[in-house]
Amino acid sequence: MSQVVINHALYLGPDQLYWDEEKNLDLRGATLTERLDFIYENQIKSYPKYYRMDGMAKLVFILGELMCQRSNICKETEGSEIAFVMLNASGSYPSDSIHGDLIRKGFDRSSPANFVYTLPNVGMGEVCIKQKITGEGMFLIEEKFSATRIWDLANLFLTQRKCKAILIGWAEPTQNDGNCIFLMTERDSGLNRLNTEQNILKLCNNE
Amino acid sequence: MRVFIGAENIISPLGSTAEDCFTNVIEGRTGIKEYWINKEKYSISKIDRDNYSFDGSFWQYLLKASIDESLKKVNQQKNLIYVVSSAKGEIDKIDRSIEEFGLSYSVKSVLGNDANFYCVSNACISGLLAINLAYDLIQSGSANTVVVSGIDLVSDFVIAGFKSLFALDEDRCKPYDKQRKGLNLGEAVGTCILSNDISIYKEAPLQYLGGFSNNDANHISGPSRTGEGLKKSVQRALSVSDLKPDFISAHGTATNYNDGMEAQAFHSLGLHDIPINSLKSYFGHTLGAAGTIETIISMQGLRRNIAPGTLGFQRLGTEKSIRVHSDCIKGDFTSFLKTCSGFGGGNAAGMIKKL
Repeated sequence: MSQVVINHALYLGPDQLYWDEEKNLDLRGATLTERLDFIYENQIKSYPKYYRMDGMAKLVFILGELMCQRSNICKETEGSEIAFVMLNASGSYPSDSIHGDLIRKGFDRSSPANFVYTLPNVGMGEVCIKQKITGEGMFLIEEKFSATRIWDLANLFLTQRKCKAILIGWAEPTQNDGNCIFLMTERDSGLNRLNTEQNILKLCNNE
Repeated sequence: MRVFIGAENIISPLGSTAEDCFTNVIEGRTGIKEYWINKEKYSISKIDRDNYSFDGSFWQYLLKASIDESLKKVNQQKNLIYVVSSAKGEIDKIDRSIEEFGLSYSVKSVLGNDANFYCVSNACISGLLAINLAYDLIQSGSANTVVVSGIDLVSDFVIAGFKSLFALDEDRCKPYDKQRKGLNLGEAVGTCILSNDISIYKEAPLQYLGGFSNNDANHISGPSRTGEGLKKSVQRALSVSDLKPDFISAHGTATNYNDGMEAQAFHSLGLHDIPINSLKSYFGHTLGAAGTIETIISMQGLRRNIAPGTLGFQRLGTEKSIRVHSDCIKGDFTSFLKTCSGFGGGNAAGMIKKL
């Protein structure tokens, strides 16, 4: 269909973080949030607002930030030429639940700090602020993980020349085993590490 | 490749067709009424459930009704791709299991198991992003015809949340006005159909020239003061269309920051002489449906050479001057620009012209 290839993949497994196809970091912590906090303390550290985020925003922020730190594409591409597309199945369910519980106790119990995170794209906004990404952005909700859908969307944004590079990811904070993968691909790329949708699937199914 | 847009429908407090809603807008009627919740006054644009006969989910009923009405306006009923946008979906069903709560589940319940669909949930710019996605799917050859719907209902969930942000005006909102105090929430569903095949439309369609989005990278719950993201997306939309729009349907939520940011962006792009409106004082802020229904009202206007006015607007209250007008403007129009801005720093713009 096109010449688009995936240059980098970041995958958060139950106890490991994978950078491309290699194990990169042994994770400690039982819950997803504990593991994310561990990554934040060990690899990022410079964004105190991190501790105010909800689980979904943390997940998107950590993986988006790691991808941008490690990938040359992010450093070498104008922020306005990078598209950022995210997908998941549950939207902002955890923060929705908290907000729902609060207002059931009283209409005036709503917390602005929590309510902001009842929009699933807000975590993407945090990555954009930190990394000065000002290109196309979109959050989509899917019934379940689909490598084909991710692959198709990456192709669509690149071939329609909406961007020079795309950061695209799946982040599901409602599952504690960390069902999360981020990919970085660019237009006219020479690299060819992980170049089919089957490889996205393989990467996700390794663990 | 030319991409056409038409076969539009809106269901809102102002009517159950795009034509009725448009007529009510140009005659200066609003869907916004006063409601009292816990002894406090709210102004909300709410659809009267008693006017519709439905079993079960009103959200699903409305989405289906709107899609059905749009499909009556085209000859093609098969091989359709759907894009549905919603900021909060069926949020009143939050108590259900995750599997039965998600937006994708709700849309599938309406469209059936075999439907090919995308769900966009990107706060207040969702509706315009959905139209842009449909355009790109057609341009790329992945689809010939795409049905695009935007839908959101008002719930305690969103009312309580926006109240805690001090973003609500208890009276009818006043976009761009000196006296503006905040937004009103509203509910609506809108549907339009994009296609590369002009022959499917029973009534002559318009042409979608393309749309873009850009992030402010400034603040998650407030716009950039200078409107950088909005400027970028408008510049890109104008450059692909090679036209100066005859009117602009802007976001205009009537919050202090949003309207000020938009004025800044449009002014600095040299668009301050172009008639600009906000439709929020007719429909309220319909969140994920806003981009869809406001595009559709503007399409109706373009066909009739009428740019809707901004209800309740009296004196410009933005630092930079822009040409907001309270009454309709008539003219020999060729095109309009639609823009949206929202939480998460998102901005979107799209251009539509007559054939």
